[in-house]
Amino acid sequence: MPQSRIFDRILLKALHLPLKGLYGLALVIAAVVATAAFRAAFVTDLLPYLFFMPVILIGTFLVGPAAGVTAILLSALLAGQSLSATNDPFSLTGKQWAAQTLFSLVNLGIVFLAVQLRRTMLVLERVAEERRCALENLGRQTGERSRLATIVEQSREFIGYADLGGRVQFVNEAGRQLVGRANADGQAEIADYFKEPDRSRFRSEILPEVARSGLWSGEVTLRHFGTGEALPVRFTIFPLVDDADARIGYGTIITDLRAQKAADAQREMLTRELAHRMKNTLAMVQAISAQTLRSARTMEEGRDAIASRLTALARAQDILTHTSWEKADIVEVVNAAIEPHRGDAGHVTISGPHLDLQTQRALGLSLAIHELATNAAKYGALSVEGGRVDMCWSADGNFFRFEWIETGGPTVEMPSARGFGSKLIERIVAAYFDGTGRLEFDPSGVRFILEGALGPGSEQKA
Amino acid sequence: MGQSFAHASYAVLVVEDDALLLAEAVDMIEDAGFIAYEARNADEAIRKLERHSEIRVLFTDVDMPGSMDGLKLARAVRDRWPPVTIMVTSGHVDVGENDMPENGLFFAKPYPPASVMKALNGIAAEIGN
Repeated sequence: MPQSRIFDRILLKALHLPLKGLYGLALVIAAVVATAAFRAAFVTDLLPYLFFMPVILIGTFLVGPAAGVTAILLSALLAGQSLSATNDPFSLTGKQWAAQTLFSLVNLGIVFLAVQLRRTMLVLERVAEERRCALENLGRQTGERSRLATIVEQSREFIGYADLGGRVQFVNEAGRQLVGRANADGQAEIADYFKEPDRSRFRSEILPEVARSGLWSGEVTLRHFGTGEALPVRFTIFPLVDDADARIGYGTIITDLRAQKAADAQREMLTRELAHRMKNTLAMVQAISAQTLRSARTMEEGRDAIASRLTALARAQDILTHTSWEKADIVEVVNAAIEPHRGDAGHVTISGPHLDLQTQRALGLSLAIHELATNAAKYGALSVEGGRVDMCWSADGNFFRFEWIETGGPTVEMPSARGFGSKLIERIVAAYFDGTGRLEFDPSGVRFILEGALGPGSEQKA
Repeated sequence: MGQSFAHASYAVLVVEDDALLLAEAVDMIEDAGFIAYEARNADEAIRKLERHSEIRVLFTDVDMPGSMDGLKLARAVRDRWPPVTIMVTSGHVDVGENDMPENGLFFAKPYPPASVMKALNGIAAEIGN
């Protein structure tokens, strides 16, 4: 009930008023004297004892038994004085003495009751307080436990425990998912979760190490109960102990390393792939250098030709880098290859659709355009104002055709010797496209027509 | 070169899918006085071997499009043409000894021409004897 609770609270508050010792005693004495004065002033001779009884009760309750007894004696003295005909509290009739004695005995009873009441209230208060604390503690523990349980269940790590015999007692959701086992039924042993040879290793190496040092952590392979899939994991196992520090089982935390292993493998593959490409590029550089030197007339000519061919190769590689070396857009390849000659005399046009060229074809076409443009800048349409080069290409299914047509340049003469440049254009680049390359020295301008395959191409060439 | 006549009596088959590298390998071998045949994949290589019995050396890349890579080709050639000496080249770092046919020679790409020439001359000397 709220009312009784308010009363209880006031009572308890009063119990804890700072009225201990002489201070409380003085207050009680003052209250008794004030009561006597009040009675003498307003109620005169009526009821000499009645007014003191509540003072004694309250005084004892609030201050203690000593104050109660003091109040009784003082009240009896003051009452006696008012009863006495001579105002001498000790000069009383026999009847009056009897009344005094009775008053004192009754009030001693009241004091006793008040003391008991006081003690009971204090005990009740302490019990209530202890109960409150206990409940609070329990609540805290329960909350903590349920939070821990939530963490275990929500964890993406495999968390579980087994008894001392190694029989698995609990596995969290992530663990059940990882190994594809519905629930820990107390039948499976930790070792059952392992794939050989780690299974034997668990008994011969891991468990003894846990017994020795209290922890084992390392990479092992578990198995999927459904599919048998090998599961690379980081496995950590430690003993569980009770309050007396006795070992009662094993706790384990397992991290799935499949994604990490896959990423490692991917990275390793990329690194190997990169090394392979680098070797291929170096082989191309070696071939270009050797081929150039073979047909060079002077050391200077050879050096310059190697440098400009490698520059052309590097420009084409820049484009391939953007696409992880898978393919390159022909428009970008053509533009990059002709770029160094944009400032030359003569005019260059390009026309053709966007097409993906695979790596070797992109590199080959770049080298071919480089050769043609270098030649045109020296002797052909790019060497004079009014000259022009038209590059155009088309694709029809897998069939690919590329043309380089020079017009408006000086009259073309058949070259006396064919160097690596023309070999590159006619044979090598054509082979990259699994097709043919035709270099025509028409008097009105050089023409190059490349016809071949755009896709994987036919490998069944005779 | 006095050796050229002896060299010309046998031929080297170069198998390489990259036309630029193929051209250079062929030039290198011809410059040394050998006859060179070229193939851009394993199937073409088998056809050349069937047609030209004077081929005594197979010089093949590993990475190739088509039904067989260079290592498979090398094993097939070892079985069908045991006298043919097998030389393998690759930019792959992980071509192991187990991948190679017996008595095969491996040259990492890019290979030094001198060591390839030395091997070819050694084979020529063996055949000459």
